[in-house]
Amino acid sequence: MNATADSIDDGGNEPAENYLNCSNTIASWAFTLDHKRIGVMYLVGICIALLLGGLFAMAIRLQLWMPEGMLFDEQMYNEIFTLHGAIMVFLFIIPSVPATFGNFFLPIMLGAKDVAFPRMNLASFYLWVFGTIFFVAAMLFTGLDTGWTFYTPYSAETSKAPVVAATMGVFILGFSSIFTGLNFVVTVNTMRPPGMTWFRMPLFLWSIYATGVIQLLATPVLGITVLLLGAEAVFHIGIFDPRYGGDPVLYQHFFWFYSHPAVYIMILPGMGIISELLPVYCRKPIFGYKFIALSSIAIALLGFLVWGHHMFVSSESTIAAVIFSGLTFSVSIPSGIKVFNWLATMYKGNIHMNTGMCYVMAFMFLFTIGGLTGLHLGTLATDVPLHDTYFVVAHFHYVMMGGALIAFLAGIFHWWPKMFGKMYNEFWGQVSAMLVFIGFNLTFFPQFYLGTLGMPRRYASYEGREGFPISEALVDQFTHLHRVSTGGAFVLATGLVIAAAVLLAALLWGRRAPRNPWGGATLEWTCTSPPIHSNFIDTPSVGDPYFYENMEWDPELGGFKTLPPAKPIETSEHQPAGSE
Amino acid sequence: MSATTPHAGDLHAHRFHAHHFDTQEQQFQAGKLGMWLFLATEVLFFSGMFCAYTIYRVIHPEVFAFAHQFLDPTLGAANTLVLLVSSLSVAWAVRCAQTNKQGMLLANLVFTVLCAGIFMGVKSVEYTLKFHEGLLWRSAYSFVEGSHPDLGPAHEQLRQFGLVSLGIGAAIVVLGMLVGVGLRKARGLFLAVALIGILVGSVCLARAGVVEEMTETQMGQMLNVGGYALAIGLGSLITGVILLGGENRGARWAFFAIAATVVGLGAGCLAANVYTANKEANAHSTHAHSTHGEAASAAGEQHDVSHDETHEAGSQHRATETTALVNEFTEEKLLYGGEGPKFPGIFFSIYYAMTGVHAIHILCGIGVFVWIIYRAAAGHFEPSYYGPVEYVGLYWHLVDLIWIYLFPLLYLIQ
Repeated sequence: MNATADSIDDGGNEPAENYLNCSNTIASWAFTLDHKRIGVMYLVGICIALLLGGLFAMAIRLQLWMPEGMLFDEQMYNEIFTLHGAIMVFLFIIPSVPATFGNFFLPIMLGAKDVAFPRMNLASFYLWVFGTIFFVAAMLFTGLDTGWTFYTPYSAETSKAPVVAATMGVFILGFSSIFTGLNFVVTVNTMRPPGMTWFRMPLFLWSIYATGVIQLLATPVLGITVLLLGAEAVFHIGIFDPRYGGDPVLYQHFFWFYSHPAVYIMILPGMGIISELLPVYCRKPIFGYKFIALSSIAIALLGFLVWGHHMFVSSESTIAAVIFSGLTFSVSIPSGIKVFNWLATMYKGNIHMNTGMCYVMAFMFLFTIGGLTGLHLGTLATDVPLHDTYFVVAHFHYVMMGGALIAFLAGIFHWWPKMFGKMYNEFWGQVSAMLVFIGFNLTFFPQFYLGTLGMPRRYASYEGREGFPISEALVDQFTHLHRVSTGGAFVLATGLVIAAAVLLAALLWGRRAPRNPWGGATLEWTCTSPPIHSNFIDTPSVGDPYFYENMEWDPELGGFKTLPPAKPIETSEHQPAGSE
Repeated sequence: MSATTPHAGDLHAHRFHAHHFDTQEQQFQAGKLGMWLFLATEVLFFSGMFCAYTIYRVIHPEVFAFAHQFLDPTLGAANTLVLLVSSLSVAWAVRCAQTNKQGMLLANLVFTVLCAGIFMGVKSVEYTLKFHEGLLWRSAYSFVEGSHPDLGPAHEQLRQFGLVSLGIGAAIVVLGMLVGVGLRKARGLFLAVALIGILVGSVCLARAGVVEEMTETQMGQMLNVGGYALAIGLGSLITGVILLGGENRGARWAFFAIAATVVGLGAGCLAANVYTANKEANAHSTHAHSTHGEAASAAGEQHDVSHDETHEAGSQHRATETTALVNEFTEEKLLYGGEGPKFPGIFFSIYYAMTGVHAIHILCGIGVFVWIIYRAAAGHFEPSYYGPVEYVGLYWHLVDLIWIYLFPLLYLIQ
């Protein structure tokens, strides 16, 4: 279909009915098969998870204000950090971007009406809800204190009820994740519109696709691992528990075979968001499209080969450690490709520092630090002293939180007008980004230093005790650094609260969003804000997702409008998807 | 997954064409790719256990060489054959859907669930006998070499189980006929019976679990009554729910599918039971020792101290006591942790994990087949729409294929 002046409508006259108000009974939400509503329900759910996990994080930081621990005893502290880690990993980060923005925008970016299996999509959401309730209740009522990794032999020896309940929760959540991933892979493979070849897809779809592949290939291994762990705890089957002749390191291998790729489940969608936002706010086509697209796949595949670097000090053989160390460095190549291509995209771009772009900049800064400190941990000689110290904590928070969470925030500010049809306050949005950035660095940068000083992770106090003396000077140093970190955590929390307030205020008082407020060229900006129930009235024509020359700012609309093309946009003669 | 609700508004589209697909073909391809990806996740799911198998077989080859002798290759081979035949019939069913042979489609599908039932019947004999002998996972393993566990009660139990299954299967067939001539209005009755059955069953089972001063016979009766009441309750529940669904022909065939499964279960169970009982009798008459005593290597276990009690309490009726004994064994075993093939428990841990998870997949397959048979009987499948048959067929082939690996790896160790 060719775009003509007549067919271009930039949203002066939006239809009154959209996916939010086309029906409003509770059942119409609870049993909806609409990917947009499922995405919104996921968004609400994971924000609650983020809040919960965040509260536990603040409790941890407060505990460490005093060298002897301020709030809890050791047992309680163990339970708190287990809750924090497990909630953040399984309930927030893993589903965050794919289940919300992936669900909402993947079909729209494909010009489709829905994902391939809408019912499975809804089932995925309810599995998530059910798993979450089960998991959180299990942890709260039974006092799970194994850490989010459930390492044997401790998890097989400690009281079995919490371990069994929590592992069942993880099993259910795994199914939810598999359903989402499977849906996305099938949708991208079979439902791309005519003209959208693999290399004309928006990069967000590439990253969601790569994520889906990891979800499919890694999550079942976690499923069988937690199943065997549950059986170990109840029946003592002797596979992981050394008391019965089992091998605890085997558990670590099984666990990290999932959980290391899971790190890329967390970060790849975030990278996709950055690749999507950068060109829009720089008003310049993405640099090195193919390299960014293929680096997502490379990360997904290489991510499966590096799990052994979690076990450098767990009696792994030297030769295995050397091989895993080498493979670990290989992941930095595709990651580096992405970062350099993003920088090249910004070069000589017309950078608009909107809130979304502020978060993108924060991501690039923080992710780069997170990635580079990963090299220290992938190097055998430096990993040995740094293992299980705060250096590791700081490293993965820079990647997970500075990467995945910040990208999630960037995405939410970028797409909020499209999802809910309301504009937010730009100034306060930027303030939130600033506070999050400063607060984040205050919280976690000192932890690198703490780690190199030898502060171990997961300790409820650091005053030393009989048998483990610690010098006065070191306690002082630890105390100062922990206090900076705790102070930073409060700045960070303030920033996040402001971000949430800005977005919620927009829902109530925001001005009506135009169709294309930022001037994006992907298909979601061609449908109304918020989209109608079936996304598009007519199947949209597929163009270059990063071509911005044919649109200009219209002050009346408060957004961008498409200029009629000088010559008809060529539609590709490629066959529809599925026939490649 | 394909849509099951017709889209009334769209007159041009097939009634099972989901609105978000452009074409029928696209819908079919999407479903097929989805199933293949799901199968990939299944392979990875099982890979964890294959990995554990490999590691422990490499570390303890003697344990595997010793313990596999407790598995009967004839039963394993019979199950392999049953699954292979069912794979053929399900592939044939897909072909029948493509060529619009509705009768053969139904026949093949019902034959497939029949095979699934036989598989589970044989499996239940294998499991029951091993439970009675104490051939259990690592911490509960309590088989004592040279002992002669009296498997009589177990065989009797299995015989009853097989006969009751056949009876229930026959009853369901009759019920299905009745439904066919219009018993739909009786669904309230079925649901009421279901409620009573489930209540009575749960109460009996709970009592058997809670009340302590009960003789073994009383306990046994309680468990039997409870079990059957629960079975009848669940059966009626399924019946009632199917009747709620309407579409008479589909409902009737769904009944027949369930009946075929249960009959298969009974038949498989009875056949395997007769076979094992005969084998034991032969072994007793020709040798002074029991089969297992013969098979076991000379290195005896150290702990025949309390094996007589174990063996008395071996019946499931005294669950708590057995557990206590098992724990004693466990402590003792820990002392002798490193010596020779004394701890075949690890083999059985892996055996139960792998075959158990596989059996769960068979059960899921049966559930899905009942649904497919319902739809097939309702005339949903035709040459232009047969995706679900093919997807379920693919799933079934995978379940079959996993067994093809499990059989030699567990039963045929040299």
